Amino acid sequence: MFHETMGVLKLFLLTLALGCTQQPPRTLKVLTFRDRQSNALRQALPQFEAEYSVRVQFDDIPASSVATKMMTDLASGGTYDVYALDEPFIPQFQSKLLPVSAWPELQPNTMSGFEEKALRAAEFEGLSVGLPVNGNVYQYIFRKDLFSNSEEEREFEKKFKRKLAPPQNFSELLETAQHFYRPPRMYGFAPFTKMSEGTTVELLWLLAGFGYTPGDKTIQLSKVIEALNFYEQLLTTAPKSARAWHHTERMSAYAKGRVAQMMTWNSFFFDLEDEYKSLVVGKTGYAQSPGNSSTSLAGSWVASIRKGSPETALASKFIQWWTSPKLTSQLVPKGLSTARRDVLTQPELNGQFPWLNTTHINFERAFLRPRHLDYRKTSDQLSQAFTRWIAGQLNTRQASEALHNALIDMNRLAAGRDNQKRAN
Amino acid sequence: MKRHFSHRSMLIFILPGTVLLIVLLAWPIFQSAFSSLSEQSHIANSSTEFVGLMHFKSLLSQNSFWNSLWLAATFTVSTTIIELAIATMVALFLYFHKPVSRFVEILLILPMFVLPVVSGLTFRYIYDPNDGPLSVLFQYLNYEPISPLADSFWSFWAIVLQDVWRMWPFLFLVIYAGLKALPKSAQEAARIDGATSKALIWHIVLPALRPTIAIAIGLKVMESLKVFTEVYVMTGGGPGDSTSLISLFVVKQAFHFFQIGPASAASVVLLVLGMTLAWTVTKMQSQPTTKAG
Repeated sequence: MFHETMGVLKLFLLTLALGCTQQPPRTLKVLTFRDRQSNALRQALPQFEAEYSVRVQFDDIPASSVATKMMTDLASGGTYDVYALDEPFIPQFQSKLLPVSAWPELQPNTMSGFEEKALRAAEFEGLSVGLPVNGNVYQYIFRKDLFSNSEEEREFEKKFKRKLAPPQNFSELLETAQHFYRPPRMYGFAPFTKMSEGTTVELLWLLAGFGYTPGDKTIQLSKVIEALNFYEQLLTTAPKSARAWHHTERMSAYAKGRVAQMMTWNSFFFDLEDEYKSLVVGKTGYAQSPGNSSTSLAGSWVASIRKGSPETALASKFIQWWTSPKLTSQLVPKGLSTARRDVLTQPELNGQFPWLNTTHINFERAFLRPRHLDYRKTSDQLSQAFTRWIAGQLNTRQASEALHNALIDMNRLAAGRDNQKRAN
Repeated sequence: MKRHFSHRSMLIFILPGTVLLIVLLAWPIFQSAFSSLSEQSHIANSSTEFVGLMHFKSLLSQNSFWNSLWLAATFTVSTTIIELAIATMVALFLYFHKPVSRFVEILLILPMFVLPVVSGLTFRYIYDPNDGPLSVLFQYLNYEPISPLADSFWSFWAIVLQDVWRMWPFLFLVIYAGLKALPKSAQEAARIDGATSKALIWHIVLPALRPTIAIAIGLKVMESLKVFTEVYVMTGGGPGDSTSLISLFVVKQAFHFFQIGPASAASVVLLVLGMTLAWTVTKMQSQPTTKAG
């Protein structure tokens, strides 16, 4: 009995000793947002894990929660090695992120092949802290089946004395919207009107159509009034219920075939061509956004490395792998909105996904949101004034003044930081 | 010696509970109060700086804060009054006329067990201008769909309606339990003296129920002041700021703007408000219940 007990004890001690000598596999912790591409990336992870003999802890959570989770994580010292974050948050988090120039084992050609506006998404005050993993442009889509319908063409030409085609400017956009306004079955435009960053984007796009450029400190109140008056007309071609529409409501209305045209992000295009999610598969046209100058708005997600991460070299390799042309080309057919110019312009991919080249064109014409530490606050001021006006809580004059003040404030803050930096 | 030892034993026994209470209850309150008096960033590597009442002064000068406070007060008062009225009427009806089975009682209180996020999403779906039942009905009748959540006036009442649906059973449960526990003697005496049902309710039952109603109101008011999830899911505080209750204001300050100081200051205001109400309710409850009898 004694010998048997001793035998079991020896076996136990041996197992324990072996367990202690074996190193646990290195783990890279990644925090990102959940969408089609994150699912596809998760499936591709074994490639990376096998190549570097590591384990990747891949936490993908709803996009709206990423910044909050990141803040709470960083407040307690930080546990993740890699964060994917939306570009408006870059200034606030920059001090906690490793500049790209300090990334170990950065390949010389890593930064090439991206859309320039997407690369700039990772910058604040000239310092880049990441690589774009998801490239988005706010751009124009339309129902090409309706636009090429001969009866529609005839009626439109009779009424507006020009051919029915994707609008080149805002007045043409309004005319097209008015033409297709046939409630309750069809509407001319799907606005974004629910208070969030989305309304700021819609507003900046609108103002850009009236000459606003980010950083412009001389924006005139009359231009803001003009823009709101235009949008009021555009709203009359949308459903009455569209005065509190977020992405869900407006994309749903479009996918059901009840909207003729709208502005939206290219990350939604994949779903529009999915027969399980859309009734307008193959019926959407992707075009250059209306407006003579920059009237598209770029917005990208960026992958960054936490300062102080014990796995900076591995994190650097991971992000380079994630953004590589090879993996990106694999992920695009699975729903990735790539920020790579060399992939967006690939002819074979464009044959399958016709919006890729349009996205590239719109990227070229796009502008970026003003950037400063209090961006979220000034964005909230814009969004609040805009949505209060939409909801009828403010009249056009009051809203225009509030917006004008908020824009000047935003531009002053953005410029202020630059000036301060220049002075230093 | 024995007595001394007994005291020490008692202290040893209550110590873990006391420590736990301090850690779980007092420490977060202290931390929140401390944050409201200091300037700190949870992101940047900055040190904490004591700023006194600066955040409170800043809050009091913000229209959005007063608007949030006003909306929270209106929401609290309206939901409490409506839910209390429904709950009291149903409880009295069941008490006097239709004693119901346990199964029906459970059915009545079922909405209370629905998670706020589920309730919010359900009502958002009901009001959805594309697919919601209201919209489908309007389209079937060839009318343009309506969307209460898109209207600055109706969106507020849409969230009130959601709260009434979900929370009236809670008040009903408290009041019905209170009714069942009332001694029958006073009611029987009143009946013998020829009191009508109306007089019985007004002069005997409701005064006797006052402590129960006070507790129900107190709990409901505190619950309403904290309401967040369902409003966030349904409207996100909009359209404009028409449903931006104080809880949404706090979350926005903390997690959208990452301004912990102002968020903590608003939380402290909310805490003081809640404590004042709790104290008032306790006072109401401890007052003599009825002159009847």
